Amino acid sequence: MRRQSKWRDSISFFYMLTAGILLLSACGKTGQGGRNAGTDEQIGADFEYQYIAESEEGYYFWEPMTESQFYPRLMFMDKESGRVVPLCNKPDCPHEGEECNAYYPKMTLGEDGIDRIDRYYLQYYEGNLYAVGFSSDGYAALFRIKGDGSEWEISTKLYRTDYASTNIWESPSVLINNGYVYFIDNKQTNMELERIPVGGGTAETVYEGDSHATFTDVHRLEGHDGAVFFQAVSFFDETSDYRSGALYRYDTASGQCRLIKEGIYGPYSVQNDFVYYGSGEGLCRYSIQEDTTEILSEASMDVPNITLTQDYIILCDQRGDGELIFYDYEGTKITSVSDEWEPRWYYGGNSRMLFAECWGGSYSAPCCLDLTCPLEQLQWKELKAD
Amino acid sequence: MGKFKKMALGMALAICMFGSNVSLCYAVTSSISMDLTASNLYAKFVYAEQGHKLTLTAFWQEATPDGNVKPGNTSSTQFGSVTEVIVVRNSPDGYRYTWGRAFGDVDGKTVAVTGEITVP
Repeated sequence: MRRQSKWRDSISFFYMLTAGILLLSACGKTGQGGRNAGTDEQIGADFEYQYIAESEEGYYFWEPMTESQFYPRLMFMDKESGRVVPLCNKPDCPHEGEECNAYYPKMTLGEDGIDRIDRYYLQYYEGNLYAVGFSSDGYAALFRIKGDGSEWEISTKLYRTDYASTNIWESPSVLINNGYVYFIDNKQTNMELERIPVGGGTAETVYEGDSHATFTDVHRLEGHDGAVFFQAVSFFDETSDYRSGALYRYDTASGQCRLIKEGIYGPYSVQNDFVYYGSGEGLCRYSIQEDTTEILSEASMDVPNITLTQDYIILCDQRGDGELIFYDYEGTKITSVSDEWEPRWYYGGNSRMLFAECWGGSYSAPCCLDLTCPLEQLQWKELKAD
Repeated sequence: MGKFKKMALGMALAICMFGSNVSLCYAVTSSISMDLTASNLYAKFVYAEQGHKLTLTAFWQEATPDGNVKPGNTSSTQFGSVTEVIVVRNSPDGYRYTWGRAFGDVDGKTVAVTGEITVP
């Protein structure tokens, strides 16, 4: 009798333990699409503009050209130490002038040169750094730079430009994702999203607008979970405007491109099949699977920049005073940050660091904001060589 | 003027004419400027010495109505007896300039740059 009783007690205890575990898990859920701080699921980097390249060890960025610095350098900030140095491994190099390895030739007709003035495209991909520039034979090209900056070469020619005849250069939109370079020639009247294998090959069109449109703008490329998201808007007459823009998704494996939602025409971020964006209705979360929109916060917003981190949804009003507003994933406002450095071109970031080009009152500079600091101590810091 | 003074002046002039670094003796005047409004960009680079390749490059950032920022640049190059270069550009419909600056190159080297101009 005693043995059977012990057995029943054991089974009862097991069931109670299992029920307790299940109940605890349910308490952790925050509702449809909610994200819990401290979950094991990691949120990756969320850059709206690929102007800061992140590697395992640190961040790369172009030094600004100033009235006293005619030879801007490629810079590197170490994640662990926070030190900022020119990307040059030449021994005893004073890191000044064209002789420094951190300096790259600028775009010039008839020569290979990189578009590196004033914060343009940089992306770290499979151990190398990539930048955009102009080849000696007139192509907009992707340049590959070794992670230590010691060597550089043309990786992929994208499209032939008319720079030689017009002298007008508009930086292409570029994103490397899953072995392909996705790019948009921003000089086109009817822009198309194309892709070409990294290293070269035949370009294929991923998206093209309505053939009857007078103007099509394609922009905001972001890579998430095996797909490339982008926005497109076509103009047909004077009544057309950007609010008719839409969000699209291109599945990189199947090659299928489909409309996700019309009306998402401003900055957005995607995580786990949810699209986060600001609008006149407020801070919104759209479920791609369910085709439903949840309004997390009803504060009206006019296309704020948006970054998703592990703990926060961060909005930046770069067209206003550059204030950062932090929300949790329930839509509760947590804090706001505004200081002497005002973001006028907000790039995005990750759960540890945000980046922007900020205006300090007399000049602009690349800046970072350390999210590992206590909320009350958050402030922008100028990125410059130590 | 005494002979000695004439000789000294002549030697100085010869050094200036044939020395490897003429800037030690005199500096060529250059000036660069940019005017920027929401819809118009105008930049000018002047180099007060003929016989050089002058390049003026104007950089800009434009804001689109949907909160996007688009950068670009344009340049103009002049040779020979020309001593000034001008760049003019109107922003496309719906776009507005928010930032700009210009650089002046002489024979491929940057010698002048404007301050940054922001448009509210």
